[in-house]
Amino acid sequence: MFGSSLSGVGSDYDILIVGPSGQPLSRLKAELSVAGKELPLDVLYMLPAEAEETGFVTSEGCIPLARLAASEKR
Amino acid sequence: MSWQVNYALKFIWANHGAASAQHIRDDAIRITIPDRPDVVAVISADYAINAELAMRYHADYPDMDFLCGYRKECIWEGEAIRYLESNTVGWGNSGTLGSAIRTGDVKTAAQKDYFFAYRLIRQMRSVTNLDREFDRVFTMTLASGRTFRVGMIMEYEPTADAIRTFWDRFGPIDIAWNINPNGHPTNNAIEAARSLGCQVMKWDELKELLRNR
Repeated sequence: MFGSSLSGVGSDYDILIVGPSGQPLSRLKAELSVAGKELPLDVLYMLPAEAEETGFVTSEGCIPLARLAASEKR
Repeated sequence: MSWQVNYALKFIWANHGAASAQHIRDDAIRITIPDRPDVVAVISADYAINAELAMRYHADYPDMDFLCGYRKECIWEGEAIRYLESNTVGWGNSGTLGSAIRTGDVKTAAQKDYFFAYRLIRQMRSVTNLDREFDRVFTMTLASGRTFRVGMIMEYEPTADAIRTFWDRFGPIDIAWNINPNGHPTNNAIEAARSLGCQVMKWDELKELLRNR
């Protein structure tokens, strides 16, 4: 996750998904479409090579969703 | 209260200081701004807004000043845009509504993601005709008679997925115009476009094409 919603002021939730294209991506998109039906999601999909090329994870301060979820539980 | 109205109200309360907002009914909210007329905004959760839907919203809410497509995926059809603009109703996403609240130009606001890019093209003398099919897709005819179908890609760094998803949703385009002045399309995006038969361009490249054709 990245963007202004991390600090609680965004109008939507910015999510980055890094992974290969093809069937797994199509399935994931379908699942996110259902899960995000009543959420203002802004999802960006990158291939691993694109994530490396752009340095997006670092430049945008992306935080893994698992880490966010773990910090919520505490 | 629908989810999108709930989010819209919370965002305005958190980010627009002097402005206040209340739910009127269904998808409509009233935004009160000091020293300015109240604004009625309709917050839509539709994935696409066509003319019929725009007219229906306008009929349901005759004093609508702004129609907000809250989903990131929301696509505006050209006829819907023309209807809303000819009826002096602003349109766009929540960011556009937020900016309009600040400037006070709610009724004339247009989706800010594409506003400046589309205005650039409208002002090019070499473009003799423009047909805006969607908020982000237009066909332009040049003085030479050649036509190009152009998709405006607003991502900071367009990815291969952005190009392919755009193609799936809107059909073949000749030019994928990366309108964000910062960042660049990824190498995979450029290759995806090439394999589909279109070209990814920034403004400098598009301007050159318009000059040479």
